[in-house]
Amino acid sequence: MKNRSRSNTLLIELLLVIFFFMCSAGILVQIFATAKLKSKAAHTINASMLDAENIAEDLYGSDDPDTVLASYGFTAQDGSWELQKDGYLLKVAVKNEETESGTIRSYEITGVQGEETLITLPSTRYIPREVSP
Amino acid sequence: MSKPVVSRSPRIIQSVFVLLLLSLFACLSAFLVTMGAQIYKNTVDSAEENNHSRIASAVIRSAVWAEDGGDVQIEKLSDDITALSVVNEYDGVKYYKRLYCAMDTDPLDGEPRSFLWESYNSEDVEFNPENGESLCELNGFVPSIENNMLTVELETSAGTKSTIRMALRTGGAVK
Repeated sequence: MKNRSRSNTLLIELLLVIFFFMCSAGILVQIFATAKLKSKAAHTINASMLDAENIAEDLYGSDDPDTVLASYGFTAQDGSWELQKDGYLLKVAVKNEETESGTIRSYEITGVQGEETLITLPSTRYIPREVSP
Repeated sequence: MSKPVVSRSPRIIQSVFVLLLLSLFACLSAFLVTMGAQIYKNTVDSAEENNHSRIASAVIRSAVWAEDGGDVQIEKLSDDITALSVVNEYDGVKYYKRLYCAMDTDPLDGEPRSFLWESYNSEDVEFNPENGESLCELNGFVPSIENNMLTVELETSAGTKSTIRMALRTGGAVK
């Protein structure tokens, strides 16, 4: 009788330990999954930032933004340019503002994942008007 | 005679059940620890790779932007080392800021690894790769200049390749 009672206590103890272990494991798996998602998101932001910086530099160094964007594979859509990359979408909006002495060309490069905006990189270039001597 | 046999059977079942629970506990804990370690390793590796590519990109961009009034050149310094050099002249003396990839000893495990280095010398000091400062692990660093556009191909320690492009603004950008 005494043996049986001891065995039952051990069984209940084990079941309790496994129950708490399973609760902790559930929480840990959630934390691991979140860490993995955040790591992936950081990688995507990093990649989109690197792409945006390169595109901004190429646009800055060129007189013809359409050719530069087309060479990257961008397609013109509703007044802006779009390029689908691995896991995110890059959008470039080009705006020209004419002034008396030249043109101010502004670019806004945006990295988007689903509904979320990952990065926004504005860039501006001033193109002076040629004046006759 | 038959009485003890009948009472022993549930006890055996109970012992087997306890053993099964114990083995289930052992298996689950081993699985959780292994999975946790693997995810932790992947997260740290990914963060390190992001970090190295960001450092390399930031160092190259800031070096060129800070000294872009000078000439940006590609120098073949030895069979293994091709440097991106930004040359400036002060009081008639030329100063070279060089970025290049060379071997260094990892401070954590003492193993030789490929690093991104930065050095700053005047023209009268002969270039020695070890006179610079190692910045971060980097396996590949291939700079080139075409039509006033600097392109640097990078390869991180994990083997991920990326490209940095920069429009050279005021510099001579001489090859």
